Amino acid sequence: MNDIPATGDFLALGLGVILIVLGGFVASLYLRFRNLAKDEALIEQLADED
Amino acid sequence: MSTVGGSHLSDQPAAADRSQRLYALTVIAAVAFVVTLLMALFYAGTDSMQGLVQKIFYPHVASFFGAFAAFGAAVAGGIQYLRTRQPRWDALALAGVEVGLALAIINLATGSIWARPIWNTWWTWDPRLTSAAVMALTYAAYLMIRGGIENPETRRRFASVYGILAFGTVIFTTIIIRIRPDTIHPAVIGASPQNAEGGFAMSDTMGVTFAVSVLVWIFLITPALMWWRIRLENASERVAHKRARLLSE
Repeated sequence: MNDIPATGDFLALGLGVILIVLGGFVASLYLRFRNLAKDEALIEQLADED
Repeated sequence: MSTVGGSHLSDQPAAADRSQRLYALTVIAAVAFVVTLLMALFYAGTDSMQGLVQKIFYPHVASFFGAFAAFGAAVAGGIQYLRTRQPRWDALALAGVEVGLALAIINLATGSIWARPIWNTWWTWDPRLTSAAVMALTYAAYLMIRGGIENPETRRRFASVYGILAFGTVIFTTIIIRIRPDTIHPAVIGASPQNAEGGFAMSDTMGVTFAVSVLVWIFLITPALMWWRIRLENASERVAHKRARLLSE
């Protein structure tokens, strides 16, 4: 009877890559939202000063 | 009509309602994503020939279907933008391309990781793998070229046409295992090509896990990510208008 190949490390690597790509995309969305909020606050501050 | 911070007061309840729906969809998508992973790990059986790495098949294929849906949305957004010239359709197309590209990268990376123990190589210039790589690069180019066009109207028009034409690479990648018998990539649905290596018999639990994974990636994960990206684009447009107004004063 054949043993099942030990390929669990590759599964873990694959799941890690999925989490990194999805997490990276979500993090990039968060950072872009945050930068926009900062820009918007600065623009409104400048508009008020004018 | 009164406005506060650039948004109409009468739109605020609707906007709050949309936000609630988006948060609900995001939570449901996140939970469903975890459930699909748990199903793959603990519910679906383990293939005796490939071992645990076979379980990467579920997110690998499901992410491609998600990318397909997102790129399809980019086509719909592009067509609608060219018909109506409303920026919201361009935002939909942009969201589709960006999310679709992220999912295509997951598809490529997980395929490569699966291939290492099964095909004994990280990568081979097989017709299916090559067409998938060309598809991802085509959409990466969309984002790069789009970012280099200053005039908003020109940028949106160009992106719409590009997004529609680029979908040809998605269709080609999808059907190539049916039209190129020399590919070694196994088919998920229907008979695999003659030279395919790494196929497996799908048990009932595997089939259920596969179906649930595909549905979750198409109808929950992809729409949730796209909705956030559309919201980001709308916020970006709003800030750009405020900046332009400030500079013109």
